[in-house]
Amino acid sequence: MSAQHAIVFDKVTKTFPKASKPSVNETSLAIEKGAFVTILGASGCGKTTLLKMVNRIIEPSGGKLSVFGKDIREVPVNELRQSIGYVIQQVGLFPHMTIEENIATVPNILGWDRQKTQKRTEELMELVHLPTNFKNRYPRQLSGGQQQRVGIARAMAGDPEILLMDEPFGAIDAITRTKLQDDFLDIQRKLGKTVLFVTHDVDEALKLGDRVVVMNEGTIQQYDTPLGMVSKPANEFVKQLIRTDDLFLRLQLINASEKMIALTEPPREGEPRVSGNESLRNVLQRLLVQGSGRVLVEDADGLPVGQLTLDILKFEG
Amino acid sequence: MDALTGAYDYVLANSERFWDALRVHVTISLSALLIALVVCVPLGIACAKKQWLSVPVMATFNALRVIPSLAILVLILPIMGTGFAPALVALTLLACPPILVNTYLGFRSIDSFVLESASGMGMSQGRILRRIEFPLAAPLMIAGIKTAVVEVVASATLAAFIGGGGLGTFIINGLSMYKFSILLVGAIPVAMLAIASEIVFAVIERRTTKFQRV
Ligand SMILES: Nc1ncnc2c1ncn2[C@@H]1O[C@H](COP(=O)(O)OP(=O)(O)OP(=O)(O)O)[C@@H](O)[C@H]1O
Ligand SMILES: [Mg+2]
Repeated sequence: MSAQHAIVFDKVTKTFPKASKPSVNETSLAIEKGAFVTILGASGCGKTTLLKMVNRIIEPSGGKLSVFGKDIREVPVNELRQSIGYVIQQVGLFPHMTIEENIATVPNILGWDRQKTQKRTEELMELVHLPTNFKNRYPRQLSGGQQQRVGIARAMAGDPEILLMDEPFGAIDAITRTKLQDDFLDIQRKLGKTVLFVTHDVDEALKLGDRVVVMNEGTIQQYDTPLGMVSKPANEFVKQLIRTDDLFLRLQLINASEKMIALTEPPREGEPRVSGNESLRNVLQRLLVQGSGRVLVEDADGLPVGQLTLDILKFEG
Repeated sequence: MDALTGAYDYVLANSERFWDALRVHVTISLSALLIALVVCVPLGIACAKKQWLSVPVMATFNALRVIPSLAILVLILPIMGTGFAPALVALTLLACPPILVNTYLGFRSIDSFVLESASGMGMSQGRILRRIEFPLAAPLMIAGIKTAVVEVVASATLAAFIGGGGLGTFIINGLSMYKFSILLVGAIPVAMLAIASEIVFAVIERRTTKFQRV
């Protein structure tokens, strides 16, 4: 519960007026600074409610929430929100403002001078891969995926330490979504923001999160790394949801470099090769497609440093 | 053509009366509009935000909308008598429905997610109102105000019937004396005022809807 935690939920409960049972029930959760945490669960399980309590769009009915060690009720609500980026599925760009003006929302509230704001806007557009000539366009002139890029840029404009994202890629087609996920993962790795990311897509949760929260009916079922979740599901619910019996899914989460063994014989011409950060799933594919007995694993310089065989992968399954 | 030159001569000969009537006409129209704006814009916003308020208020004003302007004038007469004040009340009642209803619709039309993201980023309520809600409601609000202006400018003519003065005086006189030229002294400026306000508001409308047309 110390300063290395960005967000701490301490027995937080939310029961909506007239509701028969709480939407979030006595939930405790400590999120480390710089972590990318995905929140996974079926519709109506309380993901959005959990998320929106952090920036006080929803007020908890019990318990305590702190951000960087500080009780969020002690900070003026608008100040709190200015320091936390917020992205929603519907994006919610301001249709009457240009892209530039949208991104500058928080800098304008904070009263930055024009030069600083403009510099920041350009920086952010570059970060989220938007061409700078989009600056003077209006939101409706952009595609859904581009709009969400603006949404992310806008949320990051005030350089918040924390980003809250509620199914940000939920309404976007699969191909564009993959691209957005990859780009956003890059951004997060580069900037080390603490991200709380709601999704109901299992693959998305496991791919993006370095920690995953699985929720059901207002309670957290498990808080673990993707691999931990897949290999040691806490209960039947998690097991079902994550499809832990899915071998491919598990292989997807393990890097080649983690399981490789020393070369048993020197590399030969034409043997399949993968780089160390590729998943075991790709390794399996190579083994099957190329009909080779082993796959060589390369280091960053492209030198083969280890090998993987079907036997090793079998052991994983 | 005779009637036109006749009207022109009449204006030259009675320039003081003409300018006075024009002044009264514009004053009464603007006053009615101003009062309607001050009352109906906040009321419309309140209705858009509080559903329980909107049902009775909207029903009342929609009913008011159906009553023809002349009927309102006639109804006011036994209550307030004649003169500037009752005419002003009648015109204000006339200006209210389009302003109120369109303000309400304008604010209701704003996407709730736009408001959620605005407050989620830490905009204050006042700032949201000024920077987000007003600009987004503006196209519909302007359309409502335009309707009200044109209606009031035209109906202010009828104010003369209950002694409110204005350009309508010439129309009544012209009618009673069977003098078409005098009638035109009232009718032409009224028509011009109405057209001018249409044009002014069309320009404002274009500005506020720029983001919708790109
Ligand atoms: N404003 C509200 N008033 C009353 N009940 C609410 C409100 N918001 C959410 N709930 C209830 O709380 C529960 C959790 O809702 P929540 O929106 O957190 O679910 P979710 O996990 O985000 O679902 P989804 O994946 O569909 O977005 C649901 O049963 C919902 O009906
Ligand atoms: Mg939700």
